Amino acid sequence: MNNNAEVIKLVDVSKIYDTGSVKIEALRGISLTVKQGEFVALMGPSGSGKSTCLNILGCLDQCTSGTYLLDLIETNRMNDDQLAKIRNKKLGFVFQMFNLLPRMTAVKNVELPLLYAGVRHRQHLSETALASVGLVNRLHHRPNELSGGEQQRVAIARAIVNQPEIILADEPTGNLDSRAGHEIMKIFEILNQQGITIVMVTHDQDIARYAHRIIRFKDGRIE
Amino acid sequence: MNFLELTRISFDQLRVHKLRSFLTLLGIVFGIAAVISMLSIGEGAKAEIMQQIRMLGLNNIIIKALSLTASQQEEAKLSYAQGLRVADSQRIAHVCRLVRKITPLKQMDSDITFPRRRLNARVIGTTPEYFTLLNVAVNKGRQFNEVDIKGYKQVCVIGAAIKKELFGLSDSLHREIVFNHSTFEVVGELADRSAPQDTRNEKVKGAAIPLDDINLDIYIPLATISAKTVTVSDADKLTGILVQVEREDDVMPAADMIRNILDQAHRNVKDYQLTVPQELLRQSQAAQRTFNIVLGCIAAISLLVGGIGIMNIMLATVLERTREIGLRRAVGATRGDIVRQFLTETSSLSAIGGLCGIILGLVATRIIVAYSGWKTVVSPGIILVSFSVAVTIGITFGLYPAWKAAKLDPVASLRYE
Repeated sequence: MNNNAEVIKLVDVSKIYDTGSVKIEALRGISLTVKQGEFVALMGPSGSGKSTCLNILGCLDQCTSGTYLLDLIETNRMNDDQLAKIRNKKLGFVFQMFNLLPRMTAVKNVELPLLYAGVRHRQHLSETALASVGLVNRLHHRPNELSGGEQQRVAIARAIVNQPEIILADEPTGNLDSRAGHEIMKIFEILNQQGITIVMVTHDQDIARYAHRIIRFKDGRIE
Repeated sequence: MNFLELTRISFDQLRVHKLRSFLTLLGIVFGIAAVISMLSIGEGAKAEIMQQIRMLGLNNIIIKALSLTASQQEEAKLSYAQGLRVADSQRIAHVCRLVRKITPLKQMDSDITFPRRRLNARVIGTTPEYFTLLNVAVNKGRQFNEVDIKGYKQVCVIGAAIKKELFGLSDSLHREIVFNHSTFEVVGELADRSAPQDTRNEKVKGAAIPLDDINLDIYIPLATISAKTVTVSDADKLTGILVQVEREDDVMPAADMIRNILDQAHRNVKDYQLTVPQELLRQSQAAQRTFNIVLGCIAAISLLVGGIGIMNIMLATVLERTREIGLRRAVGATRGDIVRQFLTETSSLSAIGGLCGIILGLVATRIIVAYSGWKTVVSPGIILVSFSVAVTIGITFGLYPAWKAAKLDPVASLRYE
């Protein structure tokens, strides 16, 4: 893939939540493009649509209208299994709440995407990923034995273990103190330098500064 | 994700909630235990019947004279029916080509007065064929022979229990026994043939086939007993006829034929009863049915409750693990993966329940055996069937929770608190 390829392209995307009595327009026809290797921050007040946008980019949700091209492939018409496969192979998620499985060790948590990818020798890959985020000596710790920053690093290892093209992060530093937050951002910078495209939702101006480009949302539209 | 991986996750989950898993299992455990006991008792009864039938002879047909009620006697008199007689035996042997061996029986109860008093025995007048027909060997001495029969000799062949009772360990041959006011010489001694269970035990009486205990019989030549009959017209009256046919398949047609012959000869007076050991199997199975229905209901209710228990707990689990499901979906689990995970969990749960139920069932079966004396048979087939039932229940009742888990919206479940 050449360096300027459009890995993400949203064209006139809307998302309407139909709760029966009320219809909520979370996205009102947004268009945006993210090129390969970019580091983009999505900002905006709560309810502005940035998280909805991230969920659509992550194939966790589908848009009501418009087109979403991921790697020039239209995702709108994909079925559930195909979307699961894309999430597994092309995308890596990092959440505000880390979302680690509490009864599993760090290694086992990182192995999860490999498990669903059907990879066989998972432990080695999992350990390598954990080493790359600086957790060589925390391999067999459970989440409750790790600090917030360490937990988030396990989550990042989990996101990169399947060598995705894109990392989608939903307020990755929201639950961390600023020092841990900046450590996480340094890891993101390194991953970005390795060529991984990063799209991150954040409230924090300091954190957003790590991104090359900031896209601001307001009332379901891009400002 | 492979099966081993899924199973590992499942057991991990069950280990975390030990008490909860255990309580969930109880229904399945009791249900399967009931299934095991039901099947093993059923199998046991069947095996017992089969053994008895084999002793009676699969190729045999037993005809017994029936005692008539007063009104039936009137009717019999009017139609000149004379009951089961030696002539019937000859007629059957003559007409029915399927018959290989036939032996008439004339039985009476008698008190032995010598060498020990007050011993009640069954005295049966018959022919030497009897022993081959019932497949019982003469252990010592000989059977009756032509000379005994022609000469109306007062000789007898005694069962093993009678021998033991009268003579203990000493030799019985050529010793004398007095019964029915006559003295008989012992010429032969039958091999011990115990009934399938201890014969003195009550249950043989309760068995579907009133199995006669050969060990307690005294056999004398039919001619001799006939000659001793007080009423001359009753001299050739029989209490039974034993028929053996060539092949097992011939039993039913031969029985029909014999029925025809006897009905004709007796002018349709039902003064006899025809028993086909093969037929007894069907009767005993009918008797078994009530028992099966009761245990079957217990099993079904327990299994249903067990299944609902599993469903209930799994629904709670799905709710508890909403975030986990969301996360798994985010990292690439398909709906199918989620369904498989939860189904593996329920089937592991029910498989454990099944195993516990099998153990409990085996213990229960032992206890039933100890208290009732019934025979039970536990075959690998029974265990396999019970185990499959348990796992099937698990999967069936796990389907809905698994489906619910798979239907969860990943976005919402990731945010679920």
